Amino acid sequence: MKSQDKKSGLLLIPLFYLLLLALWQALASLPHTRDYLFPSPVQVARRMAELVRDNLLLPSILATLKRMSIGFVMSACLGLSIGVAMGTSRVINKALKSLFLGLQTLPTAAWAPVSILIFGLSDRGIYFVVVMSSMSAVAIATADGILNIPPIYLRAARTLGTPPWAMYGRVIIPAALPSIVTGLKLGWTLGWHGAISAELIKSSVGLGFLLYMGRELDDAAQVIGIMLLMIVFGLLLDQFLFGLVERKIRARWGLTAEQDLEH
Amino acid sequence: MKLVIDNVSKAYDRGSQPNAPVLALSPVNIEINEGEFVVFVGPSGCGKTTLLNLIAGFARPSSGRILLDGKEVERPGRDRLMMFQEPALFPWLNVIDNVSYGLSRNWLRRSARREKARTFLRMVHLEKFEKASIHELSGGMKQRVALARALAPNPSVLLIDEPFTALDAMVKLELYLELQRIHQETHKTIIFVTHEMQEAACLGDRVLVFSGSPGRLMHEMRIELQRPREFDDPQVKTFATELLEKLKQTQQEPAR
Repeated sequence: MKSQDKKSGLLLIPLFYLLLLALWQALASLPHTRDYLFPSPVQVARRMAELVRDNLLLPSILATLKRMSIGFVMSACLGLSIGVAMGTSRVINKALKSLFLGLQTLPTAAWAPVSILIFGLSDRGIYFVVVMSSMSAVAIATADGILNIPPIYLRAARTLGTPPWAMYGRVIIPAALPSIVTGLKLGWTLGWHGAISAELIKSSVGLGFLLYMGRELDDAAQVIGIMLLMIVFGLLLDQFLFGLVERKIRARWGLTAEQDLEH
Repeated sequence: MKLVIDNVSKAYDRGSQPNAPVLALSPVNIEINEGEFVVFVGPSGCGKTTLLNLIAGFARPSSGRILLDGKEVERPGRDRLMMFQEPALFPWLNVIDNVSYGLSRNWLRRSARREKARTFLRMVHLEKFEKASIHELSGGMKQRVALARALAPNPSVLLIDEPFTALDAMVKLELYLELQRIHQETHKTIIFVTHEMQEAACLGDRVLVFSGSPGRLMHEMRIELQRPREFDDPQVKTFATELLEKLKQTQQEPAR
């Protein structure tokens, strides 16, 4: 039953996208559609091929991924450290939690202007936006994960001779890991949003920049093509970078519902 | 090995009245010898779990001292390993890594630790499940793994706190026999806490009866029956009735 579901899912998903593409092509070929506003998939593909040929696309992808990775690693380190501090001290948690919840409600794009003021038009400004966009999610999830550890695990670890200095590595972080991974995943998504927002405003290379250029040049094919590319990257990284880790952990803990293909 | 509980008492502060602490356990003196299977039995609030926590080192006595081989107990440690009501297995580790968790990391390599852990898994008949995740085990299997994990570091005393409460009757019967067999095989000193008289009579070489408010040790009884003892053995039942009688008598006496 389950494997049958999986098989039909593998067939269903490509079929769905083919249908979507066909619909798009059909809409674009309607007599009154203006192709400079609503380009067809073929036009988009052609424009993307041109971008590749002009050596614009690959450097942009690499630039965005590099900024994202550096920013995210900084954010994860900061968020984890602050989250561990919050999880360890209820005073710190009380003080910082409302601040971080507040920061989380701020749209990530709102960090771009202030980063220009502080850092000018450098990559450091983009790291700043990524960090500010994603750090609070990581910190809050880490703190929650630690604060919700059943006390019995800590007692068991102590009677089993775990020295105080080893508690974090052997018990506290592993016990909070499901929550931490969820936080990292959310942080990655928010950081991705932040990075693109920042690139839209202040960069000269990158996916956000190509999107911005497309608008400047009234090139709808480029705008839509870049957007699609962003979706594909977002999905791939979410599913394969974090999705795999998360599923593995959830399976080990017995938290999984197994059929989360759509997740 | 000798465990000496020397005039130990425990009082807790009440938040509302800081100057009138609650006496959870009046001073007790107990000596436990190597290889003994001792059961603390009594109603809830009689101080039996408090005393177990003091021996484990989770709390410090308000007065008196606990000495293991002449050394005062100050903090939790592998020499006085505690098994809890819940299995408290770590869900991020598989079965074998749970069992090897308490083994020293200083001089044992991972493979050697696993090999050692395997011996104890075999002892509780779960060697086929060494790669399993914790959530795949039944309640009884979890407690068996917890027992193996507690035995693996070779503690001087094994402290067991009502470990079978949440299990169904059939599984319990099996585990009573298992625990006795392991006790006979390993000659481990065991302190077992329960509120059930029959469980106490079935398992203990010596049963210490506690009574409540304030918690205090009331009575001591030796159970001289052949092992392994069946839980439903009439002789065990006789001892259980006798224990209950003792407890009832003591509860009618005014607190000293």
